[in-house]
Amino acid sequence: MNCEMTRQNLVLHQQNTVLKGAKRREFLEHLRHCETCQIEYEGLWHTAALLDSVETPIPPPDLAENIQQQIREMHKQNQVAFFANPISWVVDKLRLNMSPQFVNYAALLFYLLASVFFVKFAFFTGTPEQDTGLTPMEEARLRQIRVSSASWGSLKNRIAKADNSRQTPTGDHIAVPSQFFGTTAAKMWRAKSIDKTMETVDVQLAATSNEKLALFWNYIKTKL
Amino acid sequence: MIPDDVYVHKTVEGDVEAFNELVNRHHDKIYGLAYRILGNAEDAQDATQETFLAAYKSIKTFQFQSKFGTWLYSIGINICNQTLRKATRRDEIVAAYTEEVDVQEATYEAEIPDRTVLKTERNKVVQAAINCLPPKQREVVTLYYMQHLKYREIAEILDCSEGTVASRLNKALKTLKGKLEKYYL
Repeated sequence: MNCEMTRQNLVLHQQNTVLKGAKRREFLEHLRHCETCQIEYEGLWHTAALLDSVETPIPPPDLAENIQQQIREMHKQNQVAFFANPISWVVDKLRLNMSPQFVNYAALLFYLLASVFFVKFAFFTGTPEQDTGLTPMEEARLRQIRVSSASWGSLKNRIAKADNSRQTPTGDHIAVPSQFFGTTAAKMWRAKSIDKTMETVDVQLAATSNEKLALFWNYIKTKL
Repeated sequence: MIPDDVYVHKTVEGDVEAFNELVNRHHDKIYGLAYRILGNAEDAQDATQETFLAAYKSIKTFQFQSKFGTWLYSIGINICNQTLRKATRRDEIVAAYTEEVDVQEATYEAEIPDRTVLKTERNKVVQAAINCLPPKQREVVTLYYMQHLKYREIAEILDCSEGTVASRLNKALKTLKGKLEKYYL
């Protein structure tokens, strides 16, 4: 082993690592006889000893307490709100590194969106329309018809009474489009004071109206 | 003695006092590391605080594949490197050290005056020599000679091979020998 190789290994030997077996023997053999390498080795030895002798600086007494105080404050600030615990659990499972504040806001946003969807689906969604087998024109006409909340039987009785006494039922009323009745008749049916008006209506018109009304009932019963 | 890992588990479960126990155990080592790398007490205190706050924030990412102390050292090294990068002038830190070290030693080591002076002088000289090293060599010297860690542990902290550690230490020791030989010959 020459001087250059020995010097490369001086530090390793000084640290008592790596050099083993034959290599170590060669190194020590060279060091025993080479004065230059001995001086170099001594220099490294002293340097290392000096570094070892330097004492670890002592931290200020209140350093640990200050750090602990900061940690406690951070813990207070970073606590996940109770409502965000499910979201926090999901975040932990996904191994996402999110701050508790972010989780809290995410949870708030999630609950807000969930509430909006709940309200929308609970109150603003109608039942799906069933296939009535009607043409679009017929469906459009039916949509224009508004029937009172009275039962069919009650309405039919009233109509029958009205036919007999030449009077139109009042109170619960039916609003019908003018396609089924003449404009005048439609207006009559909608009128609140229909009894008085009916006295002035032509009998023929009333009869025609009754026929049309019968057709209307038949239409509703068979098609709906 | 209860292992660090138990306190880490408790911290992850939300026990803040468990982490404070870890602060009690390790703050002096981290302070020593920061002090030797940064060269002054004030920056060392700040770096120690930042190290523990960063560790607390990311404690959930600790995988238990290494010792908690080793993990803490790696955070500390990163924080010190950031501080060094932030320092506009490296000389400023070195100059500040000279004043700081006097205050430090006078406050905490007021035993025998002559011995204190000797220690202070020796510490100053060594620290000045360490400050002249490139940051990577400084880290290795601090961890090996002042924190007394093994090659394997240093390699783990610095995320490099043991050969790299040996090489950096070799270079650092030769540089330091040139700067310090007049003090022991």
